[in-house]
Amino acid sequence: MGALHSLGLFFGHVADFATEPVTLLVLFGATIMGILFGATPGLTATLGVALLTTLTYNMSHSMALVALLAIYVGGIYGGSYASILINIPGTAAAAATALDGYPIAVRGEGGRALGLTTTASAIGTMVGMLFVVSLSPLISELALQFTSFEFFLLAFFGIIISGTLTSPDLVYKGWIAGFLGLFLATVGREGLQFYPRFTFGNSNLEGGLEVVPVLIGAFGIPQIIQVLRDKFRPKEAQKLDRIMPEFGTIARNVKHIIRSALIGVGIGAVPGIGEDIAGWVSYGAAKNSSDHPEEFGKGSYTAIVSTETANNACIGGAMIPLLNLGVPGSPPAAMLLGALMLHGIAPGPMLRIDNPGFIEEVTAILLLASVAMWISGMLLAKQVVKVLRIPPAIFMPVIAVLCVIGSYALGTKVFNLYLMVPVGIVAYFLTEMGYPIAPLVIGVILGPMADQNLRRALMVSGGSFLPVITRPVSLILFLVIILTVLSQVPAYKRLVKALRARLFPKKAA
Amino acid sequence: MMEKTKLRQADLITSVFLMLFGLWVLSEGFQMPMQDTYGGVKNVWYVSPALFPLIVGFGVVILGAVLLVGSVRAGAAASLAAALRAYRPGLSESNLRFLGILLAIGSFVYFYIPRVDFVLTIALFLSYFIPAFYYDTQRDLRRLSAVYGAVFLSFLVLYWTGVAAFLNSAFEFSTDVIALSAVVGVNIYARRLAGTDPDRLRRFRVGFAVAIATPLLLAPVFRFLLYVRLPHEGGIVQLMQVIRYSLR
Amino acid sequence: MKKALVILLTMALVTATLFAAGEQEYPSRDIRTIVVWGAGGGTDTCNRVIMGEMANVLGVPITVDNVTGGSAGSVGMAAGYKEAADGYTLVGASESNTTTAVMVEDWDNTVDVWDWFIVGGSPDVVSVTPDLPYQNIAELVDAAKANPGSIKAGASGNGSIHHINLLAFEKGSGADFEFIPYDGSAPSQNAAMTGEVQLVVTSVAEQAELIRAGRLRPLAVLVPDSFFIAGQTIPSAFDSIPSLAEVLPIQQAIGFAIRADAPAGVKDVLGEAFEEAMATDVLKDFGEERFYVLSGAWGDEANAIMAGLESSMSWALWEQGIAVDDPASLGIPRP
Repeated sequence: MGALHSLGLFFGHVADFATEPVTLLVLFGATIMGILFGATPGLTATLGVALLTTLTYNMSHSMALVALLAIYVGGIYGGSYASILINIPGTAAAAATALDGYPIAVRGEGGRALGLTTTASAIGTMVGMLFVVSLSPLISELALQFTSFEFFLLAFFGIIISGTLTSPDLVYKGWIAGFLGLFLATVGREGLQFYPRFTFGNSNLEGGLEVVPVLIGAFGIPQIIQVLRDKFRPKEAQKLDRIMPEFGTIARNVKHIIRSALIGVGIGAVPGIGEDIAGWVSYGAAKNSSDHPEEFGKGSYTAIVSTETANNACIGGAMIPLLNLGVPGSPPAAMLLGALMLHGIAPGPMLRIDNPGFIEEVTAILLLASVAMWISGMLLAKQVVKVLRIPPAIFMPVIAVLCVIGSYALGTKVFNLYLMVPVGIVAYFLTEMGYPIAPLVIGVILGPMADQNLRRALMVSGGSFLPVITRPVSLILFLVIILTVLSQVPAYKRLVKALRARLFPKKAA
Repeated sequence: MMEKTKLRQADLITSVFLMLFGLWVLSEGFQMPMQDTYGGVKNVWYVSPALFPLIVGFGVVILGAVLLVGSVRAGAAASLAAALRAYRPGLSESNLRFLGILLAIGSFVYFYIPRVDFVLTIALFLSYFIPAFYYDTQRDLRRLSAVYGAVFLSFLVLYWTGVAAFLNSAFEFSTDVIALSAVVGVNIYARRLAGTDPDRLRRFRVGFAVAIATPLLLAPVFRFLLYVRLPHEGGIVQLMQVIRYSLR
Repeated sequence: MKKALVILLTMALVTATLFAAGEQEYPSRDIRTIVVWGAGGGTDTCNRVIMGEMANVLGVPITVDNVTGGSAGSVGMAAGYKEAADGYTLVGASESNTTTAVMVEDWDNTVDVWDWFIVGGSPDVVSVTPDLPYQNIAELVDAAKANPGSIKAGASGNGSIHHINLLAFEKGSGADFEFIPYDGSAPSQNAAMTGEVQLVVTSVAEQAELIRAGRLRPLAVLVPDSFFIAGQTIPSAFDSIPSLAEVLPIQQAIGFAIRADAPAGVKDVLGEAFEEAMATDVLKDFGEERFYVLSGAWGDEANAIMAGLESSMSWALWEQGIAVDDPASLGIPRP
């Protein structure tokens, strides 16, 4: 099957979907629902896809796919609303966006931030889509290079990033928060021998702590307490004349957008990990390669553009192993796998033979979903910024209710609420004492992955670390980690500067 | 964030907690299986479930020690002692607000959500939480907290003595009726606190509307549009259900 | 004040009528199925299909939630058991949930507190990385015997059915593998494709696409009958290793359950709807395309199957030292 044929199919699908009024209605409806889902703290894209799976059972497979992919795209994008406007990540995927998005909103530029992330998210989704349609067999082979060592190194890289998220007070406070997060990650029966760690005989703890209640606890509750206790209020948003796309800023950040999109696709393609990690890794990478790393954490536009491009690019990335290997690349994609099977489609290596044209259909829907997301986003952002005008004493209690419903809805466990509150109170005191909270959340997300895969890798290698440098992907990851660590060392920075000055005397001057 | 001397004082205290915590993690870690087989998996040091907890434990102890040294060098010990000597018991406004938030969220999550109809739970929570902070004076916060606290206390007594269970066995929705009257009661009190001042009256009306509209909007959306079961489906949610399915 | 009173009275009256009208025959409102395993897995997919069809038969929406966590799905099982036995809450579960009693300290209910409806299951298959020399199960067992522990076997850990099948396979054939546990079937299959482990035990349904594409080479199914998939026959391991019959088969059984103390009338309504749903083309196609052997058992027949699985799986876990409660003390008979 030639690329031209493929392209023809793709545009055929785009035209078919775009001219069908019912499809368009479902597309926009699901996208907006996804955005609202993402914007509500605790309601995640995964939950959105799960709930829609039931609702779309009696639809045709194309229509169901339109609804599910649209809510997925909308959900990942919508998370940025809450991150930027109220400093509570709507989804784990948007947690990295809060670090810089909120300071921007506090400056009174929330509308501008939303406009930028909308465009960045749309670009990210489209780049992801391009990879699905063009390079997906190649990338899915690469995904098969990931054995336990690579998974461990990837998790370790994510944890190292915590070190770059500097504390407003002492540097090592970031590390303390990170270790506390890693501790929370050890709670529960561990995945290798099923030994219960720190469960105190409570069966609710045996499955480990869920990310959503920890995330909402760690970000949401401190924010609610701070705002109400200290009567804190972000600056009134300026007149929203600048909510339009701002191609200038996008163009200035084009190198970050390209890198973040590649990171997003790559991380999405690695089985089992998804948008949340993509956001953090691209944040860390953007900070390390930025000319103004000191602006990160204080409201850098580069930061939010990077994270939002990456988490949406991840969607396409996650579809690649799903469609080509039948292995979901992210948690929402796992849900999508189940939904596809319901409609009699078995993703996997035989998909191209069993359902020719299906991959083109998926990419066509992804393209339409990103367009729908961009249009709805541009229309919604203007309205959404207005929530900042609501008095905090009204707004925050309602947000508290939403946080509670959000933490409860995924899994419908009251225990998650019992967990959320103490995590939140501890996180509040840590914030007051100058500890960054992001490393704690990263620790909870990546801890189990690092723990299990390190031990499994050593089990397979018989206790040898040699595969780290003999396996190609491992070696690359290992070198990236070394470079990241070195880039934090002042002596190394000076060395690089001196070298640059030697090699390119003009540029330095 | 706090100011520098206070930060160092806080560091001194947290460092002790951190080191104790780290030692506890270590002691638990050393009790985990490190040899033999467990769960059908041969155990060696690198496979042991203790590996990660031990790394975390060591990390926390060491970082705690670093924190301790840093704070002592900054003279935290002396300044903390001085601060303790200068301590006067009493509630600052900031601490009062903090306690008010804890009361609202604590009672909401740990008591009402698992036991009382979801719609009434949210209405009660917001009926206290919004005016307590929206009226924006210390006096209102104190008074509303006292009333809400008293309602909460009587609920606690009702459940601990088993009266609630008895009432509910006689009439299924007894506690929901009590909760409904609590919502009405708290709002009547909030209305009286608002007095005749037009601005305060406006604040009461807005708060009241939000407190009632929020659960009436959220509960049906989650329950009947997304089909998410709510934590406790008492009288009001069941009533909505009856209406929903008689419209079929 | 008068006006308010009138409104209040009217509301009370309407409420009373509505509640009286609400006492209709089962089912009069939406049913909820709590699936105790994660979204996208076998138990989840099976339940979503059967519930989708049963909803059409019963005429009320049936929602499917995933309540995961605990060991052997104990959190979801407990959540389902806590709800009223009125047939409005079902639990979507599988054979692995029969071990909740021995796996969880604060949960001692054996499977007979539930009435089961079994949709079906997919047989477990032993597959190897395709570039390995083993062409049939006998060659693999011989190689493992010649060099004990040299071949790495992947499967989901945590006392899953695949792990238990692997253990039984080792016991019955005398082969000795090095077991590498994974987080679920998909990661273990992935590891076998990458060559991190040499062999993997998961169900045919989970491996189907990889087998068809030649990414994994199936050697034998762990059930007495051979299995036909995509133009090739996977022989039964029992053919070449007859001693396996002593310890196997331990077969997957996915379905849902209702509290055993629910009214008989409710169970019958569900049972009829279940039979009708199982007879639809949607279910038949699902079984065929996804390589499930459909069962359709409910009532005493299904309960006996689950009790048998409880016995064999619980004792296997107890012997491995993974279980926390002695099955004998819970009255679970030895297989």
